[in-house]
Amino acid sequence: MSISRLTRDTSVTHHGVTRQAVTKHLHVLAHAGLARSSRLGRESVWEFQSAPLDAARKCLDGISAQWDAALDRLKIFVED
Amino acid sequence: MDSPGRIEKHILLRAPRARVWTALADSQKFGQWFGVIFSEPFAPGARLRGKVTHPGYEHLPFEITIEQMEPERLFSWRWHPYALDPKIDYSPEPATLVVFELADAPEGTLLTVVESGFEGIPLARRLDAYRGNERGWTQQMTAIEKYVSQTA
Repeated sequence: MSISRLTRDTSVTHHGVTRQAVTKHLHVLAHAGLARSSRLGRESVWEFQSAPLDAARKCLDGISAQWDAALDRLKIFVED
Repeated sequence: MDSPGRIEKHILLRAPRARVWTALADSQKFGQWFGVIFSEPFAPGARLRGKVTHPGYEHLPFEITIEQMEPERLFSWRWHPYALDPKIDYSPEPATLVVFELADAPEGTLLTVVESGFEGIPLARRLDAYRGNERGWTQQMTAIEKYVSQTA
């Protein structure tokens, strides 16, 4: 979504958030790899990038599964 | 319940608290179910380097720093989870904190495990290392299944 559409069509400006502030936030997200911008005519179009979050979630799921397996082994160990 | 920054597990162990405590606090016994060999005992503040025994993971360094040990109540340590790439030095990255808490339950001991502090860790990068090591992980899961079905 372009910033002019975001600030024109939604309630963003009604909450006193300026275009500059939105742009600044988007650049922070871009730096973290969570947003990407491309040019469409004179406007920048921003897209949310979910891949880094998905990868982090997957990694946590993997660690969580390792704990499940470890605790199952502990259960066998102490109940034997 | 897991949330983005932490993992939390609860398990009921049909064993007295003293027995569960020993399985956690005795580094030899701990190693038997966790899958790592230690040559030193656990002690608050101690930094231990163990040897991983899981098939496919023997090449990985295993380091933990013991935080607190309150007999039959609480055991905690810090480590670098998912540190699966032996070429990367994970020590400058923040460590997560693992806390085991023991409580009485009608039929034994209720154990709670919380691992927290994932917020500061570049997890997406660690996943790449995990993918590189996926074959080893599959082997480990097979080994666990075998072990569980043999002892069941």
